[in-house]
Amino acid sequence: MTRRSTRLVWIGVIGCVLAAAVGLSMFALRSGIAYAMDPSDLKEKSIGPGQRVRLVGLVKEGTVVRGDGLKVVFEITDSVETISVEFNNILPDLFREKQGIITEGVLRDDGVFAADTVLAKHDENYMPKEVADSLKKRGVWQGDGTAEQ
Amino acid sequence: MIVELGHMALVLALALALLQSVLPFWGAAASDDRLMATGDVGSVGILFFIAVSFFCLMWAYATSDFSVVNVWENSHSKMPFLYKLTGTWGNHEGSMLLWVLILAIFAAAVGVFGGSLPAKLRANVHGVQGLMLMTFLMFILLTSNPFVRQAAVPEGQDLNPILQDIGLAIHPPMLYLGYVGFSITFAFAIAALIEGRLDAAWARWVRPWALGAWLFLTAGIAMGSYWAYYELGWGGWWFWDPVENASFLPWLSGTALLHSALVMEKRDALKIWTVLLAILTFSLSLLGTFLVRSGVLTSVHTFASDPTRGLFVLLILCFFVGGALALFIFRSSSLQAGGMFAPVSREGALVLNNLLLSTAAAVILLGTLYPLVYEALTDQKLSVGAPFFNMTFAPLMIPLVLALPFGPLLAWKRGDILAVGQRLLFALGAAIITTILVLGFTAKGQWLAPLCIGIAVWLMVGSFAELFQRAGFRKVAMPVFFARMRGLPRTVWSTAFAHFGVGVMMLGIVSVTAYETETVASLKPGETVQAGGFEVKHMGYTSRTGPNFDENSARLEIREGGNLVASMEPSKRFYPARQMPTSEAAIETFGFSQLYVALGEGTPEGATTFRIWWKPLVTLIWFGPVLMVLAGALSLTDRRLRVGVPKRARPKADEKAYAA
Amino acid sequence: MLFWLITVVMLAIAVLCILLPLAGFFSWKTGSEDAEGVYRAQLRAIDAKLAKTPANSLLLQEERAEVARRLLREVDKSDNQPSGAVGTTTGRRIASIVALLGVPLVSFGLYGSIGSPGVPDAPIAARQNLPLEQRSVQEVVQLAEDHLAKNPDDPKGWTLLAGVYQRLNQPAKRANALRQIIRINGDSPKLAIELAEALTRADGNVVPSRAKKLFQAALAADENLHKARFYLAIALGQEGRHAQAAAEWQRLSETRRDDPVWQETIGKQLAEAREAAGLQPMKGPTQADIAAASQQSAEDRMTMIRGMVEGLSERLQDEPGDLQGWIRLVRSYTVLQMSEKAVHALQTAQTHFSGDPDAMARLAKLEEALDLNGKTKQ
Repeated sequence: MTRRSTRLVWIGVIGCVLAAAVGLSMFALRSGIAYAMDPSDLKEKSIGPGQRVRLVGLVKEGTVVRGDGLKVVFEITDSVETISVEFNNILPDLFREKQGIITEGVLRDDGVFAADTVLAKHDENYMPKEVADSLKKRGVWQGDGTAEQ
Repeated sequence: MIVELGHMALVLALALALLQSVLPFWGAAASDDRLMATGDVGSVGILFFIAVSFFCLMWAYATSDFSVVNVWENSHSKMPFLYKLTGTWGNHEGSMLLWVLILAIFAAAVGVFGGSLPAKLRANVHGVQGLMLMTFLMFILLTSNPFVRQAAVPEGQDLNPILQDIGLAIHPPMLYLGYVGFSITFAFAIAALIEGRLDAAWARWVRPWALGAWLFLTAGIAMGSYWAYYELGWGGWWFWDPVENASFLPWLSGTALLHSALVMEKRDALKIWTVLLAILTFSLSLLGTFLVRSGVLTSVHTFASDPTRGLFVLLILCFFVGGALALFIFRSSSLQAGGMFAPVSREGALVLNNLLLSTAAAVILLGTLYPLVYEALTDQKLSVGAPFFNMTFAPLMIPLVLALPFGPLLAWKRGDILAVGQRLLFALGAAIITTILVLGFTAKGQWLAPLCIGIAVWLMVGSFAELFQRAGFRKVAMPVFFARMRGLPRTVWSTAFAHFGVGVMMLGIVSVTAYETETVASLKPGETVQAGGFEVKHMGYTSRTGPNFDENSARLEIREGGNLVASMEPSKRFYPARQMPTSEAAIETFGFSQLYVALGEGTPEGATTFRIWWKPLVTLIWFGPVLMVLAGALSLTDRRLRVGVPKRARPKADEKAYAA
Repeated sequence: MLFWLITVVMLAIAVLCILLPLAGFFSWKTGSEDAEGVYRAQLRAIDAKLAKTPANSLLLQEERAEVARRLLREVDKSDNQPSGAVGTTTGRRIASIVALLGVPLVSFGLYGSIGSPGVPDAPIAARQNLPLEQRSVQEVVQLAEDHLAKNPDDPKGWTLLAGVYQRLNQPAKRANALRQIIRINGDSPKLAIELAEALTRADGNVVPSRAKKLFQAALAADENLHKARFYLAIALGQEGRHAQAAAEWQRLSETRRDDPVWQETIGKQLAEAREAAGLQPMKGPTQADIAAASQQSAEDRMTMIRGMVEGLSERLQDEPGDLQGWIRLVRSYTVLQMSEKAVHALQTAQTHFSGDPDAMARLAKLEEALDLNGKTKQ
């Protein structure tokens, strides 16, 4: 092989791998991501059917109802809006009322959020960053110095 | 007094590190052997003081000295003694102290064992290590001091129950040994750039250090994965969580570095790329530290985070990465580039390996940082989940695994792919037979999983082709063949076993992903459920009181065809000091497969929900890395890799084996 | 003393780490392996291979030539370089002085500003041997808790602890202790009321539903337990059922007629409840008479309450970390109808606890409960 054709082969191989990586990433970024939203966002914005969403907020007090088997229904709130969440699995140990949690799943047509993942933090003193930001945005938690006058 | 001595020792280490970051550089620039020698002695001195400091903190933990704020926040007088000790690094401050301790260990190792390296290279390495020690010691003393005192209080706040586990005793030190170990290759790269000499010999000196760091990192990641698997109770072994990615990124680029250094040593080529990899690997380690310590990304693994500390680590990150890359750009134009290689050759295969590994690293980096960048640009939060990583990472790894058996069989410079293909025919045969067998036995219309299992077998069998070839399989009589096998250099054996380990891990991953079964059942005592081919019977509840927790467990009997094969006790614990519940899954191993039972909520009627997984061949996921680590360790014992030895006469045993 | 002695020794070690090599104590022959050595070793390996594999020799020959070229280049390079390192004494002298002065200055300076010399170790074992009088209240409480963790069926211990918790203002722990007493000694309406009261106080003085049930049960057992009725009336008010609350207050005002403080408190609550319910203020003679009769003491009482509230406010200036205290302060101001001060206190608390989501949630709840919502945002 000549030096020139060797170079061409390498450029081809590198080009193919990079093109494949870029293509795969673009494709995967379309379906592999979930937007983080709080209940207010979820109600305001129109979401395509089947779009995965990461819903964050506080578990509303007194709304956790256990159904048949593992089914659990509870409400997530950002203190402005509230959304009913259905989950069909074992809840994490640190799942409690009034606790900030992250759920991931899809909004069903009947307005119930079908979650397939529920995350609560390892550390009970910790509020997930998404939840804290949402509460700040909704004016419930005036974390930045003085209260709004 | 002991606590304060520890504090003082840490301050003295900083004072020495300040000198260490100046004197060796100066010595190297002035060619002054005595000034350069301060680097060797200083590195040992710094290690001494940091070790004193670390053991003083450990002493405070061991004796439950709650006048130390850090101990009070993370310990409890009634914890088991082992967890009191491991609690030393089960928190931010302590883990950073462990981090610098390991940094100091590596720096001192260069001082003690690197005695045969060229003096200037060694001095510059000490200088770079001194700079790192100085910045991280300042970080600890100014933002995360573990020696802050308070008026004594009667009881501590307990260690996070999740961290009260033997996994914590081993996992972080291992991971840190890996992370920080790459600081040495980084320092070698900077030293080479400062001196402006970069040649095959440099690669030869760097390789054992890179291999050592890689070993620990591999072990650390595998340990962490197993720890998450049994402790978090979700049955998952990899979550593509930012913190996991942070440790996986340096692993990918470190693996690429190991292979490219090989090319550089043998062919004096790929030099600029290798140096860049050495810089990037440690930069990714630092990035990992930053991501974990700052809490900018939500993760299930972080146990402490603080924005100001994050800013400090970010500054350190920018200083080292930015400085190194600037030096790299400034110097790389003056470095002699290597030649072009034939695509079909050993070095060609290694370049392909590097290309795929670094592309995979880039894609994972993209997925990890995408939420940060996206939020900064649009103020909209999003998360990149496992589907993204699975969709991008797996397709990049498949060609790598397919090409892997070819690599070691190809000759340097010009390989004969057809001849190599012939030698791999038996591996192909084994793969096809396995695929057909798996297809026949599962018969669910799934074709991807059997195919992937076939590929894993291809790799496992193909890994040994080089051994067979070099020992003259079927060309010589069997006794000669075995004698030659024994006589082959250890590096050949270690290559085979490390690649075999990759195949083993892939087999485990594919079979668990495709064939695991999950059964969720609500059982009252006396009730039975069928799960994963077993009968699981609920035998009743037991409660007991641990040293610092209360535990309620359910007793299960596992029967297969009527015979009792195991009894299991999944449980829930409650740690009163932190008011925190945890689940303890029960795991029973059958061969390489495992039955995994996690406990759910109890119902008022006395039933409890159980989540039961049958995980076929799951332990292979960790046996694979164990093989890789053992193989790497074997390679380190090869005398040709050890620093300073090649001048001695080579023993004859190795040479005999070179016939092929 | 020993501490400083060891410190000086450590300092000496640190300085010697620099001075000794500078003085030439560690000048072992450095750099025994150089690039030349590496290439020679590579050459030897190739030669060994060549000797055994004539078939593959062309490739190996090429490889050998390549390594040999590298070796030659290296030899050239080292020939052109001055061999043997020569240092200047001035440089070493400067380095020695910097080490001698710098290490003590940096270490003592930094340790002096961030260390706590002289603070003794306090391992748990040593503290356990201290006599009881020398320990803090918390430690004694801890001892009692440990004792009860081991002997949970000791009613005396629990009773003692319940009293201590009352004084330490730890209603949640008090509630737990009371539960233990009930578990051991059996239920009684009085204990149930104590428990319910503790639960109420633990919940920021809002009557939770389980406490309400306990009060109702106690009242059903004994009509004359005014305390239960008192809290139930408060609960009704908190639920917004003001008319019913007013009726309950009315009933309560007819008890303990000879207790002016009681009458004053009840009268005030009754008036508030009626106002909230939209009823006419009471004009009946009873109310006025009672008010007149207890005028003096009521005024005294109000002064006293104001004094206490001011005291609390001052204390919180010094100890802003007391969330319970802030909640109590805001409530007190609201009760005293000093809504401006209540809003101000709430804002101060919110500023202070901005980093603590749990506390913020409680404060937000308080804000909502007291209807201060609109006022903080104006």
